[in-house]
Formats: sequence, C-alpha cells, structure tokens
Amino acid sequence: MTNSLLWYATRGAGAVTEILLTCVVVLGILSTLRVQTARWPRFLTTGLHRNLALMTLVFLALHIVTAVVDPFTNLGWAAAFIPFASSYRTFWLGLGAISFELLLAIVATSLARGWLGHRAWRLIHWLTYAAWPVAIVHGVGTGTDTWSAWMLAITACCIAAVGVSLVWRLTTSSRDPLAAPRLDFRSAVDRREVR
Amino acid sequence: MTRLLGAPDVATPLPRAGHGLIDQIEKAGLLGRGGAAFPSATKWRAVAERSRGDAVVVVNGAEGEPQSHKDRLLMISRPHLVLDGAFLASRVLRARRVVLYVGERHDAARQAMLRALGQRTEPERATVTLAAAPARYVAGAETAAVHLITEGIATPTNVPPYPFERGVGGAPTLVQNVETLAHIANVARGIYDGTTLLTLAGGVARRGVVEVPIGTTVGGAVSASGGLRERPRAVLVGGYFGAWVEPEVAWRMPLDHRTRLGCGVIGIHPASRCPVCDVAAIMRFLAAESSAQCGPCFFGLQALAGACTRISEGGDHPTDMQRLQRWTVEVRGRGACRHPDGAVMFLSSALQVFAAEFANHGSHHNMSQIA
Amino acid sequence: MEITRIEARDAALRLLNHLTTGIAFAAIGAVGVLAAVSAATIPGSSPAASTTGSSNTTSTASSDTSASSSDSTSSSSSLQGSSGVSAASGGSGVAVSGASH
Repeated sequence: MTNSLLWYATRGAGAVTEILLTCVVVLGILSTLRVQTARWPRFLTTGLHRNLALMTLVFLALHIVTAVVDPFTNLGWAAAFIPFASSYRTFWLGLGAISFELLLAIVATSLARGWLGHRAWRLIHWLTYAAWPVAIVHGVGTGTDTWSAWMLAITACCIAAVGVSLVWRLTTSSRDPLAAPRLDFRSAVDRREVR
Repeated sequence: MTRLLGAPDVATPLPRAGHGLIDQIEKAGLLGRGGAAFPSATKWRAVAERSRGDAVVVVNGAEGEPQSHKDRLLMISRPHLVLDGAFLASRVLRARRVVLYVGERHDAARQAMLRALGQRTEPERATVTLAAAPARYVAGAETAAVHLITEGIATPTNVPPYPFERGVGGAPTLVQNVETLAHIANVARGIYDGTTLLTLAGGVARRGVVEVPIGTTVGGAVSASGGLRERPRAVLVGGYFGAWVEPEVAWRMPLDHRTRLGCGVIGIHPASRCPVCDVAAIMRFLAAESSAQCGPCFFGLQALAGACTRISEGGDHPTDMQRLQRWTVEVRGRGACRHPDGAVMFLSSALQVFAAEFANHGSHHNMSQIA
Repeated sequence: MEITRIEARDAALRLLNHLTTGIAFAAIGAVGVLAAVSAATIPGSSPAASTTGSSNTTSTASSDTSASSSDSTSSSSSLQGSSGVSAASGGSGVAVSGASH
C-alpha cells in the first residue's frame, strides 16, 4: 500500500509541478511584455513569477523524493541528478533529471544575480525555453497517466498556455514606453565608428 | 597669490611625485571641481590601491553644464597645467593610459590641449588619446565618460562598480575634472593657494569666469565680476545641479566645502525676469536631458516639467502645485545616476524661494503686482 | 480621492502575498486531488505487495509494462494489458499473502 501511495503522490506532484512550471514560464513571458493595469503593476507579474518558481522547486522536490523513495522504481538518488543513470525508464527519466538541473541552474543564478552580473544571468535564464519543453516531454514519455483524459487535458492546457503567450510575445512590439526615448538618447550620444 | 588664470603657461618638467602627493592633496583639502565635490585624495587612494600598472586617467573637460565656461577657459589658457596634473596622476597611480575627454563642440579648448600636448615629451605623448564628449548634459558624468571611452556611447551607468574599481576597459580609472587636476599640479609644486573658478551668469556687470579664494562669499564673487547690473530676485548657486538662495542669504554665503558649489556656476536672477517661467524652462531642459534609462527619472522629470510649464502658462493649477510637492519626494533616489536627484533639489529650492510667485502665477500681467 | 502611489504599491504587495499563499494551498490540495484521480484511473498493485516476494514479481511486471508503454503507440491498449498483467500477478500475490495471513 505504501508503494502505491508513493506512486500516486509522485504522479500527483508531477502533474502539479508541470502546471506550476507552466505558470512560471507564462508569467516570465508576460513580464517581458510589460503588461500592467491600475491594480496590477509590473512588479506583481515578476514577483509572482519569482514566488511560483521557488514553489515549483518545492513540488518538484516532492515529486523526485516520492519517486526515489518508492521501492517499486529502484531509483537511486543519483538518478535524479545524473541523466540516464537509472535502468528504470532510462531515457524519459533522464530527461526529467536534465530539466531538474536546468531549473536549479536558473533559480540559483537568479538568486545570485547580484554577484553574477546581468549578462550571465540573462544568458542562463534563456535555458528556461529548454527546461520547460524537456519537462513536458519527460512527463509525456514516462508518465503513467499521459493518455488518461485528465492528464491529457492538463498537458494540452499547459502547452496551449505557453504557445499562446509566445505567439503574443512574438507578435507584439515592445510595450516599453522607455524604448523609444532610450533609443533616441543612445543614438544622440553614440560615437562608434561602425554601428 | 598663485592663480590658475592669468599666469603664464609653460611646459616645465614635472616635479618628483610619489605616493606622498596623495597626502599633500589630502592636507590641502582638495575637493573635485566637476560638480560632485568628492575628496580628491580619497579618489586617488582608491585607484592607487587597485592599480596594477593598468590604471587609466580620464581628464574630464566635458563641461556639460550650459552656463559653465571655466573648464574651457582653463584648457585654453593653462593647458600645460592641466596636462601636468594628468601626468602626475598617471605617475602616482601607475597608469598606462591618459584620455582627454573634451566636448566635441569645444574646438578652441581641444586645439589648445592638443597643441600643448605636442610640446610634451615623447613618453608622455605616447600614452594620451583624445575622446570627444557628446554635447549632452549627462555626457560629462564619470560613468558616461567611461562608457563613451570603452563602448563609444556616452550613457551613465549604474554604480557599483565605480570607475575607480572597474572603469575604462575594466581597469581602475581616475575620472578627474580639469580644474581639479590643475590645482593638484600646483599642490605638487608647493604653490597651491586655495583658489577656485566660478562662472558668473545673469545680472552681473561682467558675465564670465572669475577666480576667487575658496571661502569668498557670493557677494564677493559678484564684486569680482564688477557688481550687480540690476536688482536680483534670487541667486542660483551651483548651476542646474544646485539650489536657489535668497539674495540676502547669498551675499553672506561663503563658497567652500559647506556650500553646494557644484561646478561653480553662480546665476544672479534679475527681478525683471519671471522666475516661474525660467524654472519651468530649466526643468524642461533637464527632463529632455534624461538618458531615458530609468522610468522614475524620465517620466518623473517629464511630469515635473509638465506641471511647471502648466503653472507658468497661467491659470489656476492647485493640483499641479500639489503634484510638484508630491513627485519631488517620489523621484528622488530612484535613478541609476544623480541626474533626477539634482533636478529635484533644484526644483525644491525653487518652490521654496519662489513660493509666492508659484502660488500667484496667473499670467505675466500679474508679475508687476508681485515685483 | 486620489490614491497615492505608495498606497497602491502596498495594495499590490498585499495582493502578491495573498496570491502566493492561495496558489501554494491550491497546489498542495491539487497534489492530493490529482493523486486520488490517478489512483482511481490507474490503480497500483494490491495491499499484498508489501511482501518482498510479491513486490519483486509486481515490479518486474511493471517494468515490462513501462517498457511496452514507452515503445508502443497504442499505449492505451498496453496499459489495459498491463493492468491485466498486474492483476494476474496480484492474483498470485494474493495467494502468497493469503498464506501469510
């Protein structure tokens, strides 16, 4: 019974992690769009993005722990960190480990942004666009519930949410009201020989 | 008395100088003449500690303040003295490079500096390059100078890192005003006499640059400029980065480290001019000179300038007056550089000194009633 | 009355905290709900799987299952098949646990 409980828990936590991670990605895209209303300033979007990112790590930890502790799977702790180290569902689980490490790197660099500098932080943050799809594929590939109606619906919604946000981002010009005057000033003081 | 201006300018060998020069600068109590009035010895020490023979000296003659002329005049009349200060810095701080940062439209100053440079020794000349400062208000800021020299774009940058820790090409950099360097050259020769350069503007008989002993009152500076030409309403001490003062207070105000002397511009505002209109015009200028990198600065100054302009155009604007009071508090300290802070302090002092005019500015016709 | 910027900022910060807390509780609840849903749709092995013998049997069956489910495209049929398989092994497990009873 304990085995099954752990199994259910890891499946439930996995689904919730997927949902949370999707929210984090969508909020991240929305913050580049600089959306805001009177009651929802921009720092609310970025603040929620940050809080949910940390929350995602918590539920991801739950998902990993319940999976590793489950005697069913015979996973060692190494499997969570070393991709393709487990014999149990080697490839799909390996993807999970990869996504996990990417997320760790992204969160760690965000917390240490003061020391790292803006450029390094930005570079690593782009890895989000790898971490999220890899997590989705991991879920689809290794997930017991992938083709159950409820999980199909969840995954479909997650993919749709990120898809719509991306399309919106790519089709909207920067709503940054500072973009134009900043560019004006820069070109006024730009003295480079080759632009 | 050793003066900067009016003395002959010749290329003489540099006096011997080591780390002891920094102590001499400290004993002389020298403050930067670029506007920030930062203790020069402290800045030199900060660069010296970090220099591994790779330091850079930036000779800042950009002079972005519109009313200021002292830096240009100094470079035209005493270029060798300025270069002396620069090469002394280069030696003491173990610098590999000296960059002359002169306003791109200040042809006479640039030519004078280059001509003097041609008369220096070969080793000195070899380390020097020239960088042209764009004609914008913030282009003369330390970090903007460093950014222009390193990246080719004169935008101020966030600090830390300060130029003394990571400046031109990542090396410890001393950015020093040309007048400060000239004084340091005199300190090294033991002939520093504690004078300072001021630019007098507005209602004085002889507008332009004067050299006075530190501690001279504003009244004394006005006398040195031939006295008043008309009745003053107020005095602007420190240019657009400074503060307005009532004339009676100003006459007795000594110009030393206690006052916000800034870049040394003293503006005597005649009673015949409308202060509200002039303040509004200056605020519009300062708003337009924002580098638009920080929302609070760009939009804050724009809003403040807008409110001032509406008041100056006449009519009743009680909400605008309230906004001015409120926004000056909110904009302060929210920018990456000091530009918004300076503008806000300028405006706050104007609202205090010109309180009556701001409250009653119906239209220009009403001005005669107040005056 | 004009709400000052400071008050608006405070309100937004409170909203951020409430949203974060709310989502946290909702997420915890969702783990429970989705775990229950997953249990209902694809249940695990019977209680007898606590003995090592039967757990070995069941785990082998599951790994066979997972291998087939990752390979085949018509995974719904293999899942049906796998539950059939585990039911069979569960049956044998029952026999064993019956003995331990």
